[in-house]
Amino acid sequence: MASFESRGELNAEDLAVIKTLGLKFRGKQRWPLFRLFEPGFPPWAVDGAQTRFLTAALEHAAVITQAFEDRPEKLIEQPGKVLVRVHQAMNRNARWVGQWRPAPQPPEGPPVPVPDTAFLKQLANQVTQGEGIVETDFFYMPAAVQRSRGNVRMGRA
Amino acid sequence: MNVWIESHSGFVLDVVMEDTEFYQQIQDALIRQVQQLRQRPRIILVTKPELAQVLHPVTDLLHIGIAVMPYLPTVAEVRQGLTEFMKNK
Repeated sequence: MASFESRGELNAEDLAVIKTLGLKFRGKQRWPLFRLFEPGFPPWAVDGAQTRFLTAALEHAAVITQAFEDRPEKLIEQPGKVLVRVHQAMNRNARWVGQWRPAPQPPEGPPVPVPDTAFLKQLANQVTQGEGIVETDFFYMPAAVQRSRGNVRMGRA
Repeated sequence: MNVWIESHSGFVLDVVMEDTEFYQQIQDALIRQVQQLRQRPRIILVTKPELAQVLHPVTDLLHIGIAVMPYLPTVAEVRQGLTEFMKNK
């Protein structure tokens, strides 16, 4: 993800890259920040391949932004579909075009384990009915676990 | 399975396992609780439909109700407590 943040949000490596490139930024929410966001992991610096992909994505985003600047409502008027930039090869020429395609569905989760039916039926007959209300949840810990350099993940509780 | 433990407090930070194994652990935790208390709760409240799906095969056989709620005050309190705990580390 690319965003504009205040200087304090950037780390030493971010600032070093900006200095090496001879770029200057001033003010709040003016400093570019590039981060990889993955479920279960804290935000992390992007690597070379991710940077190239993000660069292409930003270039296409700029094209779409300009095309829909005066009619942004057109971008959300087809429920269930998303505007996709598609590379088309035509003879020796190639170009990028916009196509409305069905929105991708999230992948199916892992299968739910099937418990031992006979055992649970027996257990149900052995225990009493209580009036308790139990709250249950799982979530990521507000902390990162360092496994090795470049491989930091969030704990799950 | 890998267990990550906070070195000073001994607090279990994470148990790294496959998702199916993780689901199995959640089901087993409920079964163990019912076995230990020798009593089933009337209802289990969760915030995530995914968690309700995981628990449903067990709650169905044990005759325990299950419902998805947008907010659970005790869970929110625990999460806040964990946040405060980790801030002080």
